[in-house]
Amino acid sequence: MISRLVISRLVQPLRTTPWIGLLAATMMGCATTQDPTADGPLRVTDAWVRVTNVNQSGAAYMTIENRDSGVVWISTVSTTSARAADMHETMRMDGAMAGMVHMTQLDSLSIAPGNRATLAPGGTHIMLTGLVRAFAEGDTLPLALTLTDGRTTDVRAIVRAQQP
Amino acid sequence: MTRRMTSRMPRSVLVIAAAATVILAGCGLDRGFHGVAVDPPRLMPTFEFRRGDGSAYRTNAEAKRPMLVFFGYTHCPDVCPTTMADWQRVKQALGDEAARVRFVFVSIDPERDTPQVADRYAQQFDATFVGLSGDSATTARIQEAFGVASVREPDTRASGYLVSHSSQVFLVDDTGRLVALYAFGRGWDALLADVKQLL
Repeated sequence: MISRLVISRLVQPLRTTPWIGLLAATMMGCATTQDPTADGPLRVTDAWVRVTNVNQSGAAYMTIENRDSGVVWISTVSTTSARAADMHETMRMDGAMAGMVHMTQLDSLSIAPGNRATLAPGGTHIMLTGLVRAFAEGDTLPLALTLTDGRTTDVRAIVRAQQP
Repeated sequence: MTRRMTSRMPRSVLVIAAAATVILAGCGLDRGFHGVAVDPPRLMPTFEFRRGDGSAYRTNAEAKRPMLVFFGYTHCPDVCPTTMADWQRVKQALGDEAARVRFVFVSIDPERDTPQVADRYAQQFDATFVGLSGDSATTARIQEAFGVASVREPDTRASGYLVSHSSQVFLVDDTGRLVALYAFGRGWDALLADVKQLL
């Protein structure tokens, strides 16, 4: 039940009005420098990671759109640039623990057809542990998102000092 | 989507969280601060750390120099680097006046963060940022003073453990009084506006 609530908060329905959709597509085209995922079940845009030193942890952020006809489940993230890549969600606590944050590892991330998931600072992200080298602004970091059915989408995240 | 459930918080964390509640009890959105004002401002004790280069660093008040304090850890992938990046923006926006502001990162994970590691981490965001990591006793005392809670999460992964922790940024004025705090996500522009008030 809890996980379904999280999904509903993360995944926003796409607008279906044609001209708005066209405008959105145009804007996404402006904001994205490459789109290696155009023909797969997932369309990933605005993928980025923050400037990070070797051996440190980092996070990858992006927008993932499900262009398939059914629900997709991302079950694995892999990269050659870090010792491990896991999907996490940063949770802000309330009540007596207000102000505290903790992270929860996600076993998978589901996206309904036509919807998109936004991975952003302070929310869902791909945690990168033990980066194999320093990543400077302008570098790219390769990632692969694998669905439960085995299909894989390659992503190249751009290294940035600040959130775009 | 499925996920692991949160571990139960130890009693010590709840005690510190209660201390934070005491600080927050005197807070309100007044005095013109964009953050949560601490009213009346709370005089903070001084703590001494050994920096990565071996020099001493004291958190005592410095005339005409407000101080921003954040508690985190260098293995933190999301909240900590996001906060430090916000500080970068604040510093850049302040221009020449930024030299008067003390940006201080304090590790709540001294077991992994040596003074050198903490300092190097802070300085990767800006060469003037200060990164501190003390012994466990000093870390516990400064966390208690600021009402900062932290708990090491059980983790069996080879990649190591995570730490749940308070995520606020604290603003201390040049008389050593805690005047406001900023929840994670409050926005760097709010922090910038309030720092400017103190310059």
